Amino acid sequence: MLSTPLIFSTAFLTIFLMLTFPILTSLSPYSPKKTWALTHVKTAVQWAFLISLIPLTIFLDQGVETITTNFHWANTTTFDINTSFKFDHYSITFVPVALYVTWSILEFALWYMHSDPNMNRFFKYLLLFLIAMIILVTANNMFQLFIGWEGVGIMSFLLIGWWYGRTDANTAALQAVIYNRVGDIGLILTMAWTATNMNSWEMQQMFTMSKEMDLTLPLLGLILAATGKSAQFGLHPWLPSAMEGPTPVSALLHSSTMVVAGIFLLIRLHPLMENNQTALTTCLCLGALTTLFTATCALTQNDIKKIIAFSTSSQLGLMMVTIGLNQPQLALLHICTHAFFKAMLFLCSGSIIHSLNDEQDIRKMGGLHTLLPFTSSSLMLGSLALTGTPFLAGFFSKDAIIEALNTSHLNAWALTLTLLATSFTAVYSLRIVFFASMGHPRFPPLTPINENTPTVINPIKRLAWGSIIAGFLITSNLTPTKTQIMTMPSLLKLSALLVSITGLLVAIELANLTSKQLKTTPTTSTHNFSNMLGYFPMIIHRLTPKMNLILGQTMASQLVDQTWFEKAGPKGIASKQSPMIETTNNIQQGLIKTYLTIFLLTTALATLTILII
Amino acid sequence: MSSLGRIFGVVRAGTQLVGRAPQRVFVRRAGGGPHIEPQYRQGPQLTKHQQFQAELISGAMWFWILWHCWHDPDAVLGHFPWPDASQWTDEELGIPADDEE
Amino acid sequence: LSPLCLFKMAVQGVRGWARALCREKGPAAAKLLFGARAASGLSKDMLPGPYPKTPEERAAAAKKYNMRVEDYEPYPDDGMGYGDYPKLPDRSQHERDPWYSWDHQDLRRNWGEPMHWDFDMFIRNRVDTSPSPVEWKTMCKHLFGFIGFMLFMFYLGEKFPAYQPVAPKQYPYNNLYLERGGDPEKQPEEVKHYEI
Repeated sequence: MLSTPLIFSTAFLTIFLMLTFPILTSLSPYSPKKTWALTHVKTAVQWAFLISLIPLTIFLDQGVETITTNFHWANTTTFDINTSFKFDHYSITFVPVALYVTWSILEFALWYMHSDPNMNRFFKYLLLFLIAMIILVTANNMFQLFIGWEGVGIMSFLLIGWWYGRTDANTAALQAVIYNRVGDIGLILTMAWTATNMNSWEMQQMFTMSKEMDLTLPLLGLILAATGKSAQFGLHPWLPSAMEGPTPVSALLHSSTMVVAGIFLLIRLHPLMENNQTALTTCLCLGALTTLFTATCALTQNDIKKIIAFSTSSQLGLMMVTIGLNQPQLALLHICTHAFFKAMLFLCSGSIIHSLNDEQDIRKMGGLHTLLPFTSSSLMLGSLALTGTPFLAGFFSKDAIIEALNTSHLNAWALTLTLLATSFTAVYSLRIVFFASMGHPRFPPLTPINENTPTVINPIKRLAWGSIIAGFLITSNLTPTKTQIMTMPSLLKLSALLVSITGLLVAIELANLTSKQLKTTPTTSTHNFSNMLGYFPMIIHRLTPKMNLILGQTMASQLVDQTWFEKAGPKGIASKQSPMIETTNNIQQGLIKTYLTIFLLTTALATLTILII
Repeated sequence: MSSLGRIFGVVRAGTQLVGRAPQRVFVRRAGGGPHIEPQYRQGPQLTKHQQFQAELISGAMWFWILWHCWHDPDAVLGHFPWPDASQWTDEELGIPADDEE
Repeated sequence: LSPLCLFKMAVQGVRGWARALCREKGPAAAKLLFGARAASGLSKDMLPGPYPKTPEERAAAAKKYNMRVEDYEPYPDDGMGYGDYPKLPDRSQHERDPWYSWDHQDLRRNWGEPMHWDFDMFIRNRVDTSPSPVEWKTMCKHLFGFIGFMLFMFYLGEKFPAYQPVAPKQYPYNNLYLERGGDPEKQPEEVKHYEI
């Protein structure tokens, strides 16, 4: 099939062109029409999705993968930076998913943001973000990947700070950008290391070159990068803060696409990692810690978006665990299925928030089952899929991950934490459903409850169908690259389901207890730990800047003598220069002997220098 | 029961509204869809379409789950039984009996 | 070049530098070196005054900083150069009332109000000292205890990994015959899993 690579390249080029076209139209000096977002952006993404199905079909039919190097971008004699695209099963699977999710979210944003005066700019940002994401996913070159990486970072900053009039939004945007920069240190370190030691940024060359090398340092750099971007423990507080942004942003960036970029980076560069036990163990433990810690935080949050955000973070931890298990394809599978139901959960929460007049607190919801039937059905469906109910999207990836965990030789504590976090998933999912859909209404009597808009129902519906069948479709069509263990004792096989059911039962029991208060003063120590995000943001956001600023301030203004600085610096240099200036000045007196002497002297010096060197 | 009745009443009112005066109720806004007034201390008027969609998606989900549970329980319960080495007979393993020479 | 040589050169260089600095004429140079403020620093009226010793001086300093004498408390005079600058409580701007109509709404500060020495640290998106429901010490203990416990357990988990055994464990020395209390006099029975 000689024409297949051609079709691949053409299809992806068409996608890029289609997505860039609306951006180009927005460069026109005339401000775009009010309907620009609908007519240009949404249509472009929709068509891009349809086109991305062509390479997917070919791939499923024939299993073709290709690398296309288009042109040399910047090259020196020894080091080339090319634009080269990699259309392998990771990008071919992920691009349609990303486009499908984005298409739905854009349509939803048409409704959610319709009263925003800058709606067109909002859509432009989302589109720019999408382009950056696709660049990242299809890149075969570290530099190209870096462009996508920074692109999604900066768009995330702009979109979190969309309502820039609010200090909280600004702080959240700053947090996102700063935490991501910490991660970027790791990525840049790895890129520099690769350029120095492997002399290439092309991925397949990196893989070949790295066979005999000790890769621990660059791999730790990569893990740091992934920690920043994918909100792993230590660099996670920006993700829940990012919920200050508009809900479509949360749905698109902070659940389904941008945050998985870190995991995607590790999947992409997995061949570097698969033989390095230190890196794998780090990933495993980091992921396990993240998944438990953030699931614990999710347990007692009251803001519906924060719960979903923490569950995202927890799922990202699970993906990290999968990377640590040496199963990148399972991680990608979880990324793909997670994108559907997590985006849908966010859209449902957006619909609820809008219907209840911008109320995000789940304690002030309730009874939405009869009032917003479609939204709460989908919320239920999303929660079930997230929990890993058999045969919904989440099951196929989550169950496979837990099975792989159970059958591998690995850190026992990481396994325990992951299983615990899995049962927590059931608890907080039930909590959302319990507080939002069940019971009696607890919101003000006059609320504009209305989900009867095609732009609400259609995107949620599309994602809901995705959440039902996507997992089945993807697993039954993709050939796993790693051997899966198919035989195991039934206790291990059922463990994912068992822990989830246990979590669910405990949660129901607890939910029923909430109507009574058993003690006069409730024990709140554990509750506080969970509700205040493990105290992590508070302590770290106070300690680190305080230490740095106090140290910097005292050093700069009190501990050093500024007079001495000035004397040694500018004034010292000036007074050193003046005798030399005087001498030079005095030599210039028209005496031919002096000139000749100087000429001879310099020639002699120069010759001497050359000879010595 | 009374609350159920009230909800039913509202639903009926909603559906009647929908059926009765399409020109007046189906005022197309920027977002499209029927225009529904906010209600004071009442559930919103639900449209038939909305309820149908809600039922459809839930029904589809349960159908999908149960259908697969019926036809493909292996995915949940395990595809192959875990071999118990102590249960294997010599015959299966091809080990001849001890007295056989 | 030996290190000693380098050191000598450095000494020479420094000496030359010092000479260049001192070449300027007599007392003026001394005054320039030790008495004058640096052009890069603050101007004299921006610097805090000398440490107030008498009650009158305290009153004057308090007035200078727009404070009441009762509220005024200078930093201890320990040579850090605080002078008469008032020691204000370490409270961030974030703690202040967001609904009050401050002169600077974004800084939450009134005009002419004394500024904290580390004011730049306490603006609203830097260090936040707002009181929390849980005490600071307890919070630190819980968080660092949690992280420490997790690290310890990961270490333990690494020592005792979890896996799914597929066969009973086999040991050397005839499956640890002696270690399992076998009779050292007798040879253990050969276990044969095969037949040729």
